[in-house]
Amino acid sequence: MTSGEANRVTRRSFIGWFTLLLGAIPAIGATAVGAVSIVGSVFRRAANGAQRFARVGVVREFKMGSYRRVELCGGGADAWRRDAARVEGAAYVRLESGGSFTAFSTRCPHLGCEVAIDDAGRAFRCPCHGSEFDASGKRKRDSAGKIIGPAPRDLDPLAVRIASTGEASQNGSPPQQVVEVEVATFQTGTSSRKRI
Amino acid sequence: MGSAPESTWRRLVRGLDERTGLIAGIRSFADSPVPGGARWRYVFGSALLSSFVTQIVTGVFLAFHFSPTLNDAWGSIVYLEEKVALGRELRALHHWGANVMVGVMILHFAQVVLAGAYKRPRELNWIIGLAAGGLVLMLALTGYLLPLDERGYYATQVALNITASVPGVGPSAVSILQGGARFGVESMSRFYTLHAMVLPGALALLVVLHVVFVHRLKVTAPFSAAATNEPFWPRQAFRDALAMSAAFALTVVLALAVGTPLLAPADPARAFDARPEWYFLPLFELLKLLEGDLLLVGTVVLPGVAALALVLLPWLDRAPTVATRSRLRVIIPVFFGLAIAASLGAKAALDDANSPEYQRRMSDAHRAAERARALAKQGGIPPSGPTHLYENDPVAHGERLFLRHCRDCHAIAGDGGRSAPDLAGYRSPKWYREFFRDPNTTKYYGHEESVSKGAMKSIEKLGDEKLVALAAFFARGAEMRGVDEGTAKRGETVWKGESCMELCHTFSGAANPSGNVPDLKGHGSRGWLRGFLVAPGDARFFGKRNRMPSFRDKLSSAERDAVIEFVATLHEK
Ligand code: HEM
Ligand code: FES
Repeated sequence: MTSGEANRVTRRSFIGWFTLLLGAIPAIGATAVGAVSIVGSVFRRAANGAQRFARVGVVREFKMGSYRRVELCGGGADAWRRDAARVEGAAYVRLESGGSFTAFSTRCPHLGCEVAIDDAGRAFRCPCHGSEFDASGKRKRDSAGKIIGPAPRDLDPLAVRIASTGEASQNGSPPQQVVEVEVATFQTGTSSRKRI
Repeated sequence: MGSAPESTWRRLVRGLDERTGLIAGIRSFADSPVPGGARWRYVFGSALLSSFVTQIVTGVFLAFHFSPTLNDAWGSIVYLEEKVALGRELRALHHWGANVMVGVMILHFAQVVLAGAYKRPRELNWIIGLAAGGLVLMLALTGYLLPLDERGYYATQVALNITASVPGVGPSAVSILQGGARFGVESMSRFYTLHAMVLPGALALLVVLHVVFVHRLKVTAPFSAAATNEPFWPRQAFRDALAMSAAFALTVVLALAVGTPLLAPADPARAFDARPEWYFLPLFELLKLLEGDLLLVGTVVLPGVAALALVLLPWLDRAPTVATRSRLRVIIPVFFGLAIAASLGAKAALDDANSPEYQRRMSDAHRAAERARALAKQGGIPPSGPTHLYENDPVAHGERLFLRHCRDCHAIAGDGGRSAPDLAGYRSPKWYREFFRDPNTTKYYGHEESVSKGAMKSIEKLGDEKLVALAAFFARGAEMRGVDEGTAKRGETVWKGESCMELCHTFSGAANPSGNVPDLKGHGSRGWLRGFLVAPGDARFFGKRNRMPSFRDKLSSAERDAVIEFVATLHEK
């Protein structure tokens, strides 16, 4: 092979690759921009990083000992939307003897089905794969001491706070004491509890 | 060398080739003969194909973000642009890609006509190309609506009304397009389905046919070209690839340099000067020229005749060869038509550029767009849709109400009607000071319909010092912030000292006994304006001289408050 011939070969293959590159740039460029735009959601922080609460009722509506199911309207933003009436989840709430409140997310920590409550309002059972939880949200065990059902952790507790409506009503009665429950969702299927 | 083991890569390629005929396929394209040798004039088709691929890629990615419903479309675009990584760029690429595509399409068309490439045996491919062009224009038209901003919405309304004007089938066609007699929730689903599925699918089909036929029939070489052929690869391939990249580069430059317009969310209750994209401007201008009964000539007859003539071009051209000389009878009319279209388009653009009225309304529209975007970023969009954004912002809401209910009579800095005072600067010390100098200019009470012209006289004779103080006194009374307290106090003394003024005006907050001169207590304040909007003809205000309509029934009290909040910002103008 003479050096002139070798030169021609490399030159030709260089132009060949360059041609392919030029032809592919539009498709590659557009795909790259588009791919970044959809992958970006992984890195976008949730719009509402701060702890949020939803008002669920006045204090005296809650009974001691048995749980009541309430819906949570946190008024949170959903991408471009803000809808104060959007229901973001539900909770089981009860009044404790000391005057404090306990609340659990209704989502099963296994894979997120809604756990059902028994008629007395004191124990929970998940209809999907049969996990059972007692009144304190702990997983129940069978007579052999084995945990019933596949849930990897106990029910997820939600923070509760008491607030005052602030304004006296028109007939002069004092401001109401209202119960507010935290709006939160948790990673399912893990033994550790992680907020998402 | 022969004994060297085959690399994995080669084995893979060979295996694939055995099963698919891939290499033979590529070869048949690479070796496909280019009549007369590689030429730049053959690149437009490839550039167009590449533009189409880019539109599909960016369009599919846009579809990941876009929400095609009346209440969410605009918001999802704002979110895309403001929050999504490279979202603004993605949308800009699709928007400018569409423009570049139409541009390249026009060049491709011109090249084909010049070359005589529509002639036998390529008549069918010529018609396929025309149909594909029609689909591209329909894609552009349907896409324009999707962001559902004022521009897209109103331009689409015009296009739909034109369709409806076609005798016979018009109204039914519109009903099918928008899913009913009126534009609504279903219309968005239909336009989106057309834009993102039906039209691209149909176009892809035509494009494949088109390319297969080009491969089969080859390109048309210029008459004078040597009768030798050259394989497509590498010299023609290089030219084509460069053109593809150049079209994309132009798209990127436009996308980054110009940005993509997004006006305020479409609001059927607001006026807007609908304008189509540049490639539809010639038709738009034609409609301006052909009024009344001639409408159909512009919308149906002329475009129809032109389209028919193009379809029949291969048969209208009787020349035996593709020599340019022998085909002047075809080439000249086609290019003449293009030139006429270009001049119509240019005229439309120039008319707008030279119309202060249009420019003013566009700058209004851009301001409204900025405000809407700011509100959307701040508080999100209510489920009732983006036109309800403004209701949380009294000034923005008030501005819209002002434009709708007040501007026909009251201008702001010359922008609006002439039959009532211009309200720019209203209630500022400067506004009062100039009023004192000459209340009978057209800015104040000297406007066209004034009946009180001359009723109030210049009080300039009091001298600048006193009048500046008096102006501060009134501005303070009108709740202007930042008025110098000392000056206002002095103004109060002036007011009390000049009994001549008390002869005409009262300062009690109650009806004036004379019944047609406003009481001045709190003049221009929110409270004063609240009473005034309800009953401007009350004896406390302009009484029998009043010419302003009452807004007691035209606006709710919340709406009146919003207008007043907007009026309270006019001192800035
Ligand atoms: C030749 C092909 C196409 C052309 C000429 C075209 C043209 C357009 C135009 C002019 C717009 C308005 C852009 C703006 O100003 O905001 C648009 C918007 C849009 N197009 Fe296409 N398009 C094409 C293909 C596609 C495809 C294949 C898809 C999806 C599969 C798609 C999805 C969209 C979406 C979601 C929008 C709304 C987003 C926005 O307005 O920014 N397009 N298109
Ligand atoms: S989801 Fe509740 S047990 Fe599986």
